[in-house]
Amino acid sequence: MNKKIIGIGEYAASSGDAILVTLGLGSCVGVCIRDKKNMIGGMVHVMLPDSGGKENAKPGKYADTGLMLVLDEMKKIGSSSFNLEAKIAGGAAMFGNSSKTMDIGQRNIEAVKNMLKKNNIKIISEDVGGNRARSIEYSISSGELMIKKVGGGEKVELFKI
Amino acid sequence: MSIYDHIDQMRLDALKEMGNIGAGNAATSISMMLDKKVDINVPDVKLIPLSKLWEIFEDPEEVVSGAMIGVGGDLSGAILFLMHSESIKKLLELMMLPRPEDLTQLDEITRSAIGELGNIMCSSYVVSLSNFTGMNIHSLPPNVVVDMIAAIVSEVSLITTEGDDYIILIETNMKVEDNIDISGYIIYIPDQESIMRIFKQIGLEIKDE
Repeated sequence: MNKKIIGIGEYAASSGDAILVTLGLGSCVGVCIRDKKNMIGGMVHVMLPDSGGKENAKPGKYADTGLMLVLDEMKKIGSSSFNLEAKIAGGAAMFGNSSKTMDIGQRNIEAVKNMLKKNNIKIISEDVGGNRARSIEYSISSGELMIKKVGGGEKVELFKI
Repeated sequence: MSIYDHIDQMRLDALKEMGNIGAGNAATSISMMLDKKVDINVPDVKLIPLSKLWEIFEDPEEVVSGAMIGVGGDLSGAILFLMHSESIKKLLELMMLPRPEDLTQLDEITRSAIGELGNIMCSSYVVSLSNFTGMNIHSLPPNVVVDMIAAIVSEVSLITTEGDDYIILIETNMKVEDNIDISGYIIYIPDQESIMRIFKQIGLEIKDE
């Protein structure tokens, strides 16, 4: 199996049997996009909602620029721009809504949803919000998104969306 | 060019020494409270890109409990006090508190006890930092957290640095002696501005080019 781990603010696109993984999504949002017909998928680990239009060394961090980058990357390896489906996870408020965090999670979720809508990409499932962090694994061939989250009994819960 | 290009070995060592003094004091206060010997190791200072953060953990998905304490005044950033589930339970028992069955379902007393532990450790850390640098620093009320370690550290980095590409972690491991295996971490994550101030204060100022 071909697993690829994506760090904070990074993105990747791949095809075939690849599995895209990202760890420790707190207020960050993991956006998974797939072209079912051509078996091409991509993932971006979005950290902040808006780049403010500025040039940045790490454009993958932001919802607006990050999503465009991953779509470009997918196109490069043969994905079409139509009939894309998306799954999103993350956007938790791990420390409650203290003023310092300004509810980045919720803003990230909204920004990601707006960007997906603008690009006519349908969200087919999501697991967002709450106050627990997530780790996600996205299988490009099956389109399944495995989510790990700390649940009751100090165990890490595993479920599919 | 960011300030992170200017951080050489000498500056890293200075941060390490600062972490050593801070954690030493934190260990002393917890040792006094428990009346047990507490050991700390030499701190580790890590300067890493945020995107590589998950690589520093042996098991990034390990569940840990602890508290985040914000730093206010002349410096900002946050101090994290984290422990493995079993360690924190034993520590709570040593404090004559009921052993929590499930840390993910904390009751008010246990939550407040963990917060207080974090408070005691981090306040002593902050006080010694203040003495070391001669700056006016205080600690903010604790936020208790139980989650995966990589997620906690990256979330706190995100909050303190507001999305910088690099972060600095000053990390110390501590261990309560006396045959009881209790160990944990104290991690200080300063923001860029604070790093500049610290260096300026201790005579290692980074000049803007």
